Amino acid sequence: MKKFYILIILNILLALSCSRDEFEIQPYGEIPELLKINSTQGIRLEKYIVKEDVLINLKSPEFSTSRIRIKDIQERTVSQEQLDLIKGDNILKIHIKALPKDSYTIEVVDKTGNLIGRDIFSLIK
Amino acid sequence: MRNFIFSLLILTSTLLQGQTIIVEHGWINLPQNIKVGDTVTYYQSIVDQSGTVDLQYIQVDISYNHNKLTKIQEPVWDQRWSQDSKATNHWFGYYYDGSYYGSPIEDLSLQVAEGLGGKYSGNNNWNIQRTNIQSVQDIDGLLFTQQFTVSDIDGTQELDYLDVINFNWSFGRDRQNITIQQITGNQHSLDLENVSGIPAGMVTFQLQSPNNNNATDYIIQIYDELEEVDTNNDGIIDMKVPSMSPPVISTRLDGSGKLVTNSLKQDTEYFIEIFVEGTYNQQSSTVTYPDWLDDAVTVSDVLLAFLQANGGGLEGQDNILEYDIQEQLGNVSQDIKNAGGEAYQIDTDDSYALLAFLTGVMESQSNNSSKFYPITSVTNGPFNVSALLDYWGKNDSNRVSYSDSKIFTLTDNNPVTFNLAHGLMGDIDLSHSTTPALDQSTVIIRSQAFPGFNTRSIASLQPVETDLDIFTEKVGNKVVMKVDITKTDLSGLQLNMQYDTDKLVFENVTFDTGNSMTNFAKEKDGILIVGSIDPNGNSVITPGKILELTFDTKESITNTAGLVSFRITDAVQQDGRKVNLKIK
Repeated sequence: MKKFYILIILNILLALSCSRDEFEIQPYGEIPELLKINSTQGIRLEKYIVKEDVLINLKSPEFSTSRIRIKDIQERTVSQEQLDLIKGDNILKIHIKALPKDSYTIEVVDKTGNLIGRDIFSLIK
Repeated sequence: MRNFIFSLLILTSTLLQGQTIIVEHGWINLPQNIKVGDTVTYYQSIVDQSGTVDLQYIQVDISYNHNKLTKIQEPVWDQRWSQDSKATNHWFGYYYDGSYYGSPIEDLSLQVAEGLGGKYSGNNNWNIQRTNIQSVQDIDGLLFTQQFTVSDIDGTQELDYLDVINFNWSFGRDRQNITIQQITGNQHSLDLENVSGIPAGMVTFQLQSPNNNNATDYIIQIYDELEEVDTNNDGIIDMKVPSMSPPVISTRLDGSGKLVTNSLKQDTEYFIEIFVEGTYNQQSSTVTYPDWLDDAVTVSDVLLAFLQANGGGLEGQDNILEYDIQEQLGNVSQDIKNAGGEAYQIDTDDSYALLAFLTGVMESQSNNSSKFYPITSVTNGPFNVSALLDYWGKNDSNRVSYSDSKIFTLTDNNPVTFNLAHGLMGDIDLSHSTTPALDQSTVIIRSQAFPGFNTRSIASLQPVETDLDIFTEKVGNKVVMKVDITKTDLSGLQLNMQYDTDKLVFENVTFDTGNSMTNFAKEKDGILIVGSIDPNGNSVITPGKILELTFDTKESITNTAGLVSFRITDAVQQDGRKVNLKIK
């Protein structure tokens, strides 16, 4: 009976945690081979020649409010997202429909501006 | 000895009688400017210089270069010889090498006296024509006319239209059947001068524009058939414009804003235009224009228009603008009845038209309006202004006519580059238009009406840079975009954005820019244009979080990266100076 109550309490806590925006990014489970990062931080794209939304792994050394910047060939920021990264792997998506065909640099910085990782992809449409 | 005496008698007789026949050839009514394909009329005639020769027979042999001329007619003999015997012979692909070729005195009869053996050789560039006439009358005066067309020498070894027809030789006899001893030609060779159509070699056209990133959206059209126009019916030709004939070149620029061609000709007047090209959709019968056209006319253009219309600065008599071309591009409120006849000057009509356009009050042209508002946008399309760079943006004291700024002529086959200028109506800050070199010929001259007030120095219009914080984030099931500024003297700010319409629905925008600012937001097909402006430059945008845009989501998303892209961010200071916003 004691185990039953403990399970109910855990379920309630789990439900509460899911409803909170700041914890929406969940541990991904099995990280696809293409997105695995061996070091403690960095970023890795699923593919580098992109014609549809693409998965990206942002590996953060700690929980952090961070920014994903997408920059064009002239180093102008054309899209920027602010989000909370959990420590470790964060499997996210780069949406491409609103981006013009171009070659882009994607970089992730933490709240103090420290670079977590940078990568390049080409968008074909 | 008998032969010698006989010859001496003949010679003496000839000299005494002065038997000299001149064969003339030339052109009839040759046009001053000849184009490839034109018809030219050739003639031959006989002049009896002594007036004593009763010429009964004459043969004239000529060569003509068939790379340059195409025979379209046999000799048309003058009607005087209609009852007489005539003959014409042709040999194609032969050339005559006379030993007196090019001599000052074209002694045609001597060629025959020396013998013609070995003087003809095969040559694919030349043809031979030999005419004969035997008459019961004294042959004198016009023999015949004959038409040729001027051929295009492009692709041949020919470089010009000199030596198109040459005399070879002539032979004649008088009524006593005595050979005429001296037949001369008036000129050995006939030329065609001022023929357009000679290849001009490699010609490069280079667009000089800050918008060269989008160079492939521009098209060049070059016309070679122009017509003269008397615009005000005063009997004086004011300009030349392309006729109804299609352009000889109509092609898009390459990615570097360049077009290289070797298909143009020398001594031809060409009219060139460059403009932004739309894409025609056959199914919907519509033309779509590049998205970046919506970036050309923004808050900085509107504020500049207001400041200029209001007199700019000191005591309302200064210019806020520097270049005359800025005022030309800002003249966007035009009376349809007087289109083109207005002064190039920005007034309050222009500035309010731009404001109405920017804020979405005037989205497109109204069919019922007596006014015409050539303001560039995706909806309106591009309103193009173009010229050869050397004539771009010249002020009243230096302006050449519309057509003169677009016409060029190539005079040799040396490689040459033409720099081209292009502007879009409404683009007062020249963000997408060519900036001319600043000198007395391009500077705005309105202030000359107010002695003592000069235009500002060029440094005054150099843009400044400031940071802008703009990002999206996921808040519940919404995507929120927030914009923060720290600069304290902005009188205008505009953001043009594109968002993913498959995943987002634009919901609303909240401004917190201050009480006296005019805010605007326009949305169409995934393009969002939002901004804030005080057109008179009296107020500034309150620093801080000035904008918040909210999107609903159509599907579950984990994050927002790439869902909204910032196409252009434009801002302007109270004094009209452009501000480059650098996204942090």
